[in-house]
Amino acid sequence: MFQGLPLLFRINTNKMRQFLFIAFVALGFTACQTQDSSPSEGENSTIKVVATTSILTDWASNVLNDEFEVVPLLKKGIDPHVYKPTKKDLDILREADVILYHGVHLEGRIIDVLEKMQGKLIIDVSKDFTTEDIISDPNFPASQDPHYWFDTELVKKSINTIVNELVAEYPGTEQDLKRRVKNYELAINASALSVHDIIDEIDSNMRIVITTHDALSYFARAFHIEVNTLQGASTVSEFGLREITELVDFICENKVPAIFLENIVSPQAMESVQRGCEEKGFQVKLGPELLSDSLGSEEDQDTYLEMLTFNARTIAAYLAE
Amino acid sequence: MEVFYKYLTLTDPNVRYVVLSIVLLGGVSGAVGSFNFLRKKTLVGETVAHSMLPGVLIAFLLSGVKNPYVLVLGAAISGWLSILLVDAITTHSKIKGDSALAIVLSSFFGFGIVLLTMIQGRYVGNQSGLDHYIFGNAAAMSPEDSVAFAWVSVAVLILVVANYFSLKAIIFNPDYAKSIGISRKRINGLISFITILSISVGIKAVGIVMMSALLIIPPTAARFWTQRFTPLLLISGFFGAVAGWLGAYVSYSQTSMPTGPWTIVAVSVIAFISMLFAPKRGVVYQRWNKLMLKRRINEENLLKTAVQNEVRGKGKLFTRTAISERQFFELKLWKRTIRRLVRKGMVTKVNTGYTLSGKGRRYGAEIDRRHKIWEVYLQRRMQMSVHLVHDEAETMEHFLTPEIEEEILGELGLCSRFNPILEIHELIPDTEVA
Repeated sequence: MFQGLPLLFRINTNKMRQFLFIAFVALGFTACQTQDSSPSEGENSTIKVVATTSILTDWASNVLNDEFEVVPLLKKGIDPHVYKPTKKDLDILREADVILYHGVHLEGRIIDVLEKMQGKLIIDVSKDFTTEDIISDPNFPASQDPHYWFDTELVKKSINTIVNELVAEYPGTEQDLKRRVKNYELAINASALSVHDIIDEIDSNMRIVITTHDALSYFARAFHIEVNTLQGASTVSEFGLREITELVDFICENKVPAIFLENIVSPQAMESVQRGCEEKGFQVKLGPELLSDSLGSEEDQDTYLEMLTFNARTIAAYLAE
Repeated sequence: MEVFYKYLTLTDPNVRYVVLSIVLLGGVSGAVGSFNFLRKKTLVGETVAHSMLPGVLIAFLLSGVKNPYVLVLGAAISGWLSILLVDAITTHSKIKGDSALAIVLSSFFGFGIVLLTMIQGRYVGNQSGLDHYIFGNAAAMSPEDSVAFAWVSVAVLILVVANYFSLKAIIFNPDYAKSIGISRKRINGLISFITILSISVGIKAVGIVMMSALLIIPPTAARFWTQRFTPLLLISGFFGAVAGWLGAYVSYSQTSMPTGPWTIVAVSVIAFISMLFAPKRGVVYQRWNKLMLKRRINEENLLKTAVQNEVRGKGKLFTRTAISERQFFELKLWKRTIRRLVRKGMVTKVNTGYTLSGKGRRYGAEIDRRHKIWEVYLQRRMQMSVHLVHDEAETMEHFLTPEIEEEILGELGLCSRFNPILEIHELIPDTEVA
């Protein structure tokens, strides 16, 4: 009895510990599970539209009415070029009725997933573009620049594509959606005009925007500015010492007053460009982040139209001395 | 050429930062790597580098900023933890060293990737650029980076010089080191410390994935050029630095060429060149040496047999058939060997056969003499049977030097003019020789 008791006690605590451990782990798993599944328990009366980027989400929510529920796949500040979809993203996509994506190879890895989706309306919003619409590298015509949302004319094409496709699928929505597209087009035109006004205030010799990756070519084409960058159209492409030194020389020669960062690219390279210019005796200002592949999280940058004017205003403020 | 001159003189400030950083990094990692290389623990560098990813990311999550010093500290801590974990696994379990390294490497790196995906998946302010730690971003070095690399180089230099003797003793003769009171733990800790130090600052430039190449490849290449400790350290550091310089040059002279990966390519090229062309240990030299030895053995066998035939009274003229009775020569080999001997003036062609020149006869007789001296030695000193000594002597005859010959004769109590050809008949019966 006295000998047996401690042994019994020990076995009990060991077993107890094991049990507690397993219980905790199991509890942890179920806790995660319930957390994951709770938001999907909404009613099914609305048509669920998933848009890949925050920009596309903003367009969709402007032109779609209450019958549609628009959900973004990527949160703000996330680089769509290299984003790898997670299981949660797959769940979001699986629950969607309609999926919108930019196309022109913007969504690198997400496309692979979309190709496997079945029984959904999947809309490439750039499918009605002509080859002249899309900017591509003259040396490599296959490499197309996907950042077309900085050209407001192309955005208007995109939203019409979205609405036409949706109306074909859900005919009852036609009148309301067409009216909303008209309104949004007017708003886009107004923003484009104000961007033109802001850019025109900059001295015409100083209309040079220098950023890390080549996201602003369409902006440059639409609003008549020059761009010079470190990386190509995708953030995946590598830059070397040569690109940095050439950019430094370009800045010093043209006395470009400011260089800009981007919200999805590391500031490190631009900082070393700035240091290089400084050493060469030219003080170049390091501007704030421009919004390129994602909307910003601040109050005045979180819609597409605000993004346009925010970029224009930032560029103007730093380039006009 | 102008580009090269501009590069050489470091006029461009960005070139200056990058070249200084990468050359210092290459040099330090090369030298530090040779300690691990000599301890036969090269993969420690690989494990430490990969294990730094979660450290970098946790440091970023905790501090919320991409301050390089904070991130380096995080990297160093998780690198250090990985070494402790490897040690703990190897001492407390049955798992062997290489498995322990692999386990720690993949689990830490896997955890790091999980963290990175998590950070990229939700919006954490200014997270862009964290993935540079995986592949590096050497082209975007700043003056602060150069300064950091310089400090690390100085620190490593001081530590290595101050502990030079202890390091050498622990690496080459741990028992001796222990007997004179050198703490093995302290020196191993020191090696780990400098390894972690150089890796943690280096990953920003060349990246986690490629960092270990800078630690492993330079000492491997240097090993082909020397077999001494100090030269190995210096050559290894030199190779690392040269590779960095070349990598930055490629990145500067061509468009869209990343600096870090080119540094690794350069150091690999150096290693391959060393492996192939280094004197004495290089593959080419060794192959050449072997070929020369084979040729010499064939020539010596031919000459020796011809002399033996002469002694046996078979006449001065010999053909392949006559030689092959005692020493078989394939036709192709015969042609090649005889051509070389004719060229060397040891054999002359006479009608249908060949005859030895005075030089060739002397050389052949010398080989035969060595053969027999070795046979006598084996019998008298090694008590080997008469039947076995011939085969042994067949190989040894090509390697006996005059000095060894002299020594053997002395030991056997024979005068140096001893002529085994006369003596041999009392040792081996005629039938045996034939």
